[in-house]
Amino acid sequence: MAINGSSRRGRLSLRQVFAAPLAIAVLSIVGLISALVGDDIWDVLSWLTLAIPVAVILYYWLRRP
Amino acid sequence: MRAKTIKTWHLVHKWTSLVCTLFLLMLCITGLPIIFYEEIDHLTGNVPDLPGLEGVSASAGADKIVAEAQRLYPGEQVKYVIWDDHQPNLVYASMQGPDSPPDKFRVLAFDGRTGNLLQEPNYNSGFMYVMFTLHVDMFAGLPGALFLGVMGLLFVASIVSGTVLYAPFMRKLTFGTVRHDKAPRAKWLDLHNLLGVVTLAWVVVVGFTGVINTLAEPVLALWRFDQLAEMTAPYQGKPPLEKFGSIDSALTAAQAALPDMTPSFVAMPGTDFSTNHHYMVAMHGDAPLTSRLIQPVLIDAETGAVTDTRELPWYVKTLLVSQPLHFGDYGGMPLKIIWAILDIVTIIVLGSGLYLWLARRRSSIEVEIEELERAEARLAAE
Repeated sequence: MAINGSSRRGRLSLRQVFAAPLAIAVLSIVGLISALVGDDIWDVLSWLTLAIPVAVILYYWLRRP
Repeated sequence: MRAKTIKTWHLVHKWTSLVCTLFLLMLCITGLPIIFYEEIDHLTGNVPDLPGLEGVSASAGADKIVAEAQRLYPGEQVKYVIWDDHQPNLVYASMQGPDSPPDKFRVLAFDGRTGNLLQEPNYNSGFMYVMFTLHVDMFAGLPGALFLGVMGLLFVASIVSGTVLYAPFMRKLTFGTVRHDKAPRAKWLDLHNLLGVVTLAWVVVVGFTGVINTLAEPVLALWRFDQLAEMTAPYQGKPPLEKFGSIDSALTAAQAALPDMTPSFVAMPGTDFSTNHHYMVAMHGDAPLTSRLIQPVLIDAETGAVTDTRELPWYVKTLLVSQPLHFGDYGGMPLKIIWAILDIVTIIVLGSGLYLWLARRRSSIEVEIEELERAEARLAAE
C-alpha cells in the first residue's frame, strides 16, 4: 500500500529524519537571541526566523496531496 | 533504535506528559493574554496617557513624587519608585501599609515632569490579575510557583522524549507528512509530530526559562544573603533611620557612579532590595539585553553617598535574561504575535497528545512497536 509522503526507498536515515527539524531549531535559536542583542534589523531577523515554524506548519497542514 | 529502547522512551513520554499536560494547558491559556499585558493595560485604561506638555522637559524629581504619594496615603509607605520602560516621564510609586500582604502593592502613576498624580492603576484584581497569578503560582505563593517549576521540568522531559520518539515514527514518512486520508488518529499523530518538532527550540527555551522564573524568589533571597549582606555589612546592627535623605541626590550619586546607565527603579530603605540604611538605585542600560541587566548601587540613605556597587552575580543575571526569553516582550509587536501563535501551536500539541492517549486503540502502542520491531527484523534479515 502506498502511503502518501512515504519515502520510496523505504527507510530514512536519522540524518534525513532530523535534517529539517534541526535546521528549523537552529534558525529559531538565532531568532530568539537576535532580538535580545539588538533592535531594528535584529528584531526583523528574529521575526523572520521565528516565523519559519509557523509557515512550515501552515504549509504542511493545509497542503492536500 | 531497538524496540525495547523505543518502549522505554515511550513510557517516559507518556508519563511525563500525562502528569504535566493539564497544568501546561493552563499555563499556555493564561499565558496568551499575558503576552499582550501592556497592550491590554493600555486598552483598558490601566496605564495613563501622558498629557502633552509643550516645551516641558524638566523633571519634577523623585522626592516630590514620593512626598505627594505620602501626602495622599499617609498610612502607607512608598517602597519603590519605578521609571516606565517606554515612557521615561511616567514614574510609578508603589506603596504598602504595615498590614499589606508582601505581594500586594498600591501603585500610583505620576507625571515625572510635573510630579502630578495621573492615575492609580489596579494590579490587584480583575481579569489580568487572575490570569497572571494563575500563571505564576496558581494563588499558592512560593509552593505554587515551585510546583509549576516541577511541571515545567516534566514538560521539558516530555519534549526530549518526544523528540527521541520522533525518529522511529518518521523513519518511513518524509518530513511534514500529514496523512489526511487516514484515520483521525494517524492524522493527529502526524500533526502532533509535525507541530511538536518544528516548535522544538522555541518551546524548550520558553519552557526552561519559565522554570527558571519560578525560582525568582529563592534566587533574590540568595542574592540578599550573599551579596547584599556582604555589601552592607558595616551597617549591620545600626538602628533604623528616622528620616531619609534626598532620593534625588541618591539618584545623582548613582548616575555619577555609573554614567552610562539610567535608573530603572529605586528601592526605598526597608525593602527586600535595600537595607534600613540604604537606598538601592537599580541602574540599567538601554539595549534590549542591558535594559534587563540592572546593576544595584547602594546609597547611604542618610548622607546620600555611594557605599557600594557590584554587578549582579551569575544566578541573578540568568534569572533576568530568562524573563524576556519567557515573555517574548523584547522584539516589538511582531514578536509578540509570533509568541502567541507558537503558544497556540503548543496548545494544539498538548491537546493532540491528550487526544492520542485518550483515543488509543487497545494497547495501540504495543501494536505500533510490534510493527516497528517487525520492520527492524526485516531490515536485519535483508
